[in-house]
Amino acid sequence: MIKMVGLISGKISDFVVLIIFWATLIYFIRRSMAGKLPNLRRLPAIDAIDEALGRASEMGKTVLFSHGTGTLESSEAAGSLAAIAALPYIARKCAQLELQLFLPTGSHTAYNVLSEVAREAYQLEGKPELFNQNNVQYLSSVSRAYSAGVMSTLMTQNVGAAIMLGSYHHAGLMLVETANRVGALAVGGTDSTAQIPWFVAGCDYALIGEEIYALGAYISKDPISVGGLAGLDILKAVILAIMALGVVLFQVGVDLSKWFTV
Amino acid sequence: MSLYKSQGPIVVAFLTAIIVITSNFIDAPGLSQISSDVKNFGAIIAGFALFVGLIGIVQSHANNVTRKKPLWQYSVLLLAVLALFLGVGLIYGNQSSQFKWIYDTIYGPLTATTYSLLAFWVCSAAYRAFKPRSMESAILVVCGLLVFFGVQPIASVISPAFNSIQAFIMNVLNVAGTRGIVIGVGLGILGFGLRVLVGWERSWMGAD
Repeated sequence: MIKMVGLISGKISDFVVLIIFWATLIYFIRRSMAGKLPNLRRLPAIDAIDEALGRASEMGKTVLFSHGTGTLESSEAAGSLAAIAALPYIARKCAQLELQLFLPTGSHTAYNVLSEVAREAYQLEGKPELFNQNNVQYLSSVSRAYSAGVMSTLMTQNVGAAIMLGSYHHAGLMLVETANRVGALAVGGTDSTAQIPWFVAGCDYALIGEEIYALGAYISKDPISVGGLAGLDILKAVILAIMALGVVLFQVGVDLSKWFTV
Repeated sequence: MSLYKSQGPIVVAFLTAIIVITSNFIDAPGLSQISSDVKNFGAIIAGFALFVGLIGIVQSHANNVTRKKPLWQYSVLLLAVLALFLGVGLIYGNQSSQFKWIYDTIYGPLTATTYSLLAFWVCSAAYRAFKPRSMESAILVVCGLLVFFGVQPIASVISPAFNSIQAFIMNVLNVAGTRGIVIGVGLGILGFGLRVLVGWERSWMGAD
């Protein structure tokens, strides 16, 4: 018997919303590529990355970059990839300033990505001899063991700048506090809602939630990333409007949520 | 960068993502099986990457030992424990009582110790956060104290209002703020995923 191709019942509305959202993003990206670039609000935490690296260079200290406790094959991959998107810029800056860059990871798949990205950054700056493969450390996929390893690096490697971005479990608090304890200038950001308060409290500069996904756009300033940010802001406004409409309609007996479970 | 290195990962990322995403929404013959195979293939590749990570650990710590770097003794310990775990696992199997004994008596207590340190980190972080240096941090201090006091048994004895205030802060203000962040994060993932999917986001491949 020939089986027909069709949308799975109960997920039709999800599919439609996904297509609308992506179409909106593509529209704003293409608009941006055509030259209509939106203005970007400056995020102090991103400007602070340069400050942290410069300070580490002046003090003759090293730099630590952590992409979080998420792996590249889990649901936290987006957070890890968003953090790694900032690594080429950070690694090139480290090469320019002749800084040692430590890259601890709890993901064996990210280990190779970090190695390649950092090596290439040092090569592009004409200083491949400064790249030390031993500074890319695969510690453990267990967040407690990972945090113990990163704390050890923070305390023994004379770290002057700790850049901690991505998704974190409870390890986030340990790393932020240890960075504070060793006097490293800490720039952090996470999309893990339970860890955001600790990052805000403990880091010198913090990125909150979705801001880590905007990091690449702020650093590269390329039209594609910047246009995508504008699209996301419009989508946020639309979601807020739908939520407000839903609340009003619910008061008059119309349940909007039923439309989103088709 | 060669064509293979610049376009290869993008093509692989695009194809795998399209298969997995469409299988979530579209009911087509064999699609869910292909999606499942792709995920399994990813797990197999990740297994190989684990081996690379293992080599990295051994190289890094062997280097510490041979060059007598600071705290090289810990590297010796790490390599010894690594060899012990690996040896016992390979000889007796990872479900054996010998492997379980090492796990329960060494690994378990060590991770529990690391986890218990959180209590002290929470205190030091809270101490720093609860300094009223601005209007925002003053509000944070007041809310924090109200929540802290509101969950104490004595609070309801003094006045039931403390429980209500604590519940309002946690269930209304806190949830509203958290949901705002969660919506933003969700949209951020959606946008970032699209850029990775179509190859617009290449910085993770090293192309700055």
